[in-house]
Amino acid sequence: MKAFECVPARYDLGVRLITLGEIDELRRGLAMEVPVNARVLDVGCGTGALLPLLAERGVRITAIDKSPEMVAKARERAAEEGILDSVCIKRSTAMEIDRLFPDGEFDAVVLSLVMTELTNDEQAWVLNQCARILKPKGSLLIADEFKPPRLLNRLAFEIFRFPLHLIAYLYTQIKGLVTSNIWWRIYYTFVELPLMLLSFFVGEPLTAPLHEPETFLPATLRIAGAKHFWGGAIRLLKIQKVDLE
Amino acid sequence: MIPHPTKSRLITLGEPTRDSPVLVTVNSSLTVRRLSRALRNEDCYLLVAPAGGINVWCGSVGGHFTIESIISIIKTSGIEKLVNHRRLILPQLCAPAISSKELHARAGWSGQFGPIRAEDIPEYLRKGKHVTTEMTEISYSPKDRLEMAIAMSGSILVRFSLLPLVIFGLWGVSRFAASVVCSAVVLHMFSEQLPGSTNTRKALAVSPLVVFLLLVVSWPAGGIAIWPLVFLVGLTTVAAVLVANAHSGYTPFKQCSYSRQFYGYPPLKIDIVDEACTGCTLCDWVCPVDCFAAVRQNADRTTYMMANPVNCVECGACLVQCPTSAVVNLFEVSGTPPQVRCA
Repeated sequence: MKAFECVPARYDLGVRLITLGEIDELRRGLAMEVPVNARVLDVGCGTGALLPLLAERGVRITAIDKSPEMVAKARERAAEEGILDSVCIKRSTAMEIDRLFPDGEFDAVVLSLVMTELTNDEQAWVLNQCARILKPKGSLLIADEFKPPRLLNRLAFEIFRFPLHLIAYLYTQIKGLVTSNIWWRIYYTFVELPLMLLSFFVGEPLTAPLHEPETFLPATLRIAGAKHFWGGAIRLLKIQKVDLE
Repeated sequence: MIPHPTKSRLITLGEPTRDSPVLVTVNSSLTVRRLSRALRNEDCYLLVAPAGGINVWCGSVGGHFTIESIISIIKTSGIEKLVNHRRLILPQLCAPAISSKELHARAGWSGQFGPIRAEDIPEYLRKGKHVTTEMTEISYSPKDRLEMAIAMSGSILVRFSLLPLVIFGLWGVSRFAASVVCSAVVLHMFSEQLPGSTNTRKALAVSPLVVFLLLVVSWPAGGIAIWPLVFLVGLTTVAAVLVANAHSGYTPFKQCSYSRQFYGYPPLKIDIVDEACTGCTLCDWVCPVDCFAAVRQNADRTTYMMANPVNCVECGACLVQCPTSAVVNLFEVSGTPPQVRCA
């Protein structure tokens, strides 16, 4: 969800809300898929929740995030965990990895809750770049929201997803209501809150879930394994770089 | 403003060559439509950057239109393969968010600020990408005023129509709508001429006129009784207050009244440190409201100074763009509102 991106304090809770508490399991699964002693790139590290889990496996991590607040928060967390010597955190967007890293630099690239934040064109571009910076046989790990494959699951997904995201969105936006002035508070609640709701319906804070992975993967990337949560609404994909020759 | 996004993409206008100009704009559908119309006779590329469907001015000050938006569209559109040069023409009103220096460092493209209004772009391109003073200052013509008044009424009606509808039914909501539109139009068109020091007083001064107008219009429908008159006055007054409250954010000369309280933007009080100023003219160029003036220090040194602080809309464009950090925010330097410097 785009609205969480720049509010570190709300990010962890927001993410927990929209994954219905599966985020820890998802992150553990992600870390387990990373080969030991590898070089890993974590694109969109957020508050850095994945970093300690990866560091436990003895990997060297490069993490990037577009928001300076998030980078500061992730550094803070890395310092608390005492893993600063195996982690390098940079401020950069996913769209700048072409200038940052040479070909075949990483054993694994992690895209944890990043793909849905991007437009379709951006997704295609980022996946191509990931294929470029991965070593041969390197793996790309995607953890994100997908459209469930089965009809019944998809129905439940459509019904529950919207209110869930609405609550998460309002929760992150509501920080503006925290002011000492009672009149402003009344004004925000009765005037700005309806406007927020309106812009939620008209604007695009709600990100679109991903379709079946075959539809957006470039030719050099093949699915090597998948783990489904909530009937396939949240998935952990392990994707391998293959040689076309 | 309510966002209305369109797909971010590359638009090819006319028959551009490998040396044709590349313009950048945001993915607000109205902006893209107007730009395409203004540029229909030009040969150029137009990059529609993802910025949440918000216009350039609000988007750049509000953090939706950023360097990341431009980087994204450069990479995804494949424009690098289409042109030989690496120069972007940016809308001037994005100056609060996009520093051309940072753009060059992060994307390898240089940015030049073009005119504010889409209609001026053809002339700007013909004159060899040279902006005139008129192109860099915001104008607010009667046509714009009318348009903003209608847009503002729409926004107010969407938010507040429910209450009069529930209490007074269709009678109430129609009167409410009429008084919102009338007072918005009058306030926007004659903002400078109306008596009163604040927007609220100005709008309240308009409301008797609106009541009179509504009475004249509804007279043929059969007389007037005392209670409907009281309700009408009440509705009109409420409409006037709402209109007055929203007014400043819909003009190009005032900051949105809740940008500070609601979004927590720090207040700005801009000044220029004489010693650091190189006289590069960039602050004067990007300022949309004519704040700065050139001062001739001696034969070979001209610097700029804050000449009209009353005009300042606190957009921060000069602060972001100044290459030598000569432009400073006095609130940040001292923490307290300082004395206004004597010229």
